[in-house]
Amino acid sequence: MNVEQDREQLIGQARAALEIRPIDLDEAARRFAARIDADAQRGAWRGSTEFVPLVRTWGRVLVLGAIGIALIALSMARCPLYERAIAPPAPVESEG
Amino acid sequence: MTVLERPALVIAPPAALDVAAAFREHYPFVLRALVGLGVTPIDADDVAQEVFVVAHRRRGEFDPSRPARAWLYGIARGLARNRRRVRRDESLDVLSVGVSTEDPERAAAQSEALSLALRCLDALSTKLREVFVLTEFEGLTAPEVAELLELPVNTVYSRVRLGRERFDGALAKLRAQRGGKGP
Repeated sequence: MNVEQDREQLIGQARAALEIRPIDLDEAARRFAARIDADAQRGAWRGSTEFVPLVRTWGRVLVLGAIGIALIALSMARCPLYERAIAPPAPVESEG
Repeated sequence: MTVLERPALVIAPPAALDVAAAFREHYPFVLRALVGLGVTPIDADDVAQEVFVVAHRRRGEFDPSRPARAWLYGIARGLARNRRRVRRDESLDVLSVGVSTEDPERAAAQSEALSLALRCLDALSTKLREVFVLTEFEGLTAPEVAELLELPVNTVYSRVRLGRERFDGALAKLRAQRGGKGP
């Protein structure tokens, strides 16, 4: 047996060792289907490269943040304590 | 009829891959490819499942103008890189994936041959190994491998030749160490 025949025989046997029986293929396909179903029940997978959800999330953060800051600023501006706090000190009249 | 109404010019949306059908058609190829890429046979089934799960998630990205096998191979290659494990010994029980026969003697011989072949493949660099496995184990032609790996055909021929040399050298060395026993 020459080198080439030896190699071919070895590879043929190795390949035969990796042959999948129909019953094993059915079992593997069943497990795959079960896994896909489980993934689907957990919710749709979202690709890491999707841009729209990213923009939507950040848009929501910015809008809600701006509303929050506006409410705080407005309440501070209307607050009498705040008005007093930022008012210039009253002039002290001398007794003499 | 305007130009846009001509059927030949209507651009259809890209068809997503039917992964369930692809699984039945390509699972054996993916499994063998993973083993050839260095994933241990005991891990190969898990990684092969993972390949199709990734394919299912990314099915919208599939380019129908390319063979599904090439796309799946690309995914398998990426996952194999992460999951590659060093085989610690020649234990045959880890090779239970592929015992395809009811004849125990033949099964043992096949497992032994697989173990030996994997050891010989370890003598090849990743680039040589990929091309060698696709041509010698999968029986693909050089142009098919060139398309699959997006390589020039002459590079494939060159790597096949080098791969055979290294594989044969490793086989001769292992056989000599084992005292010339057959697979």
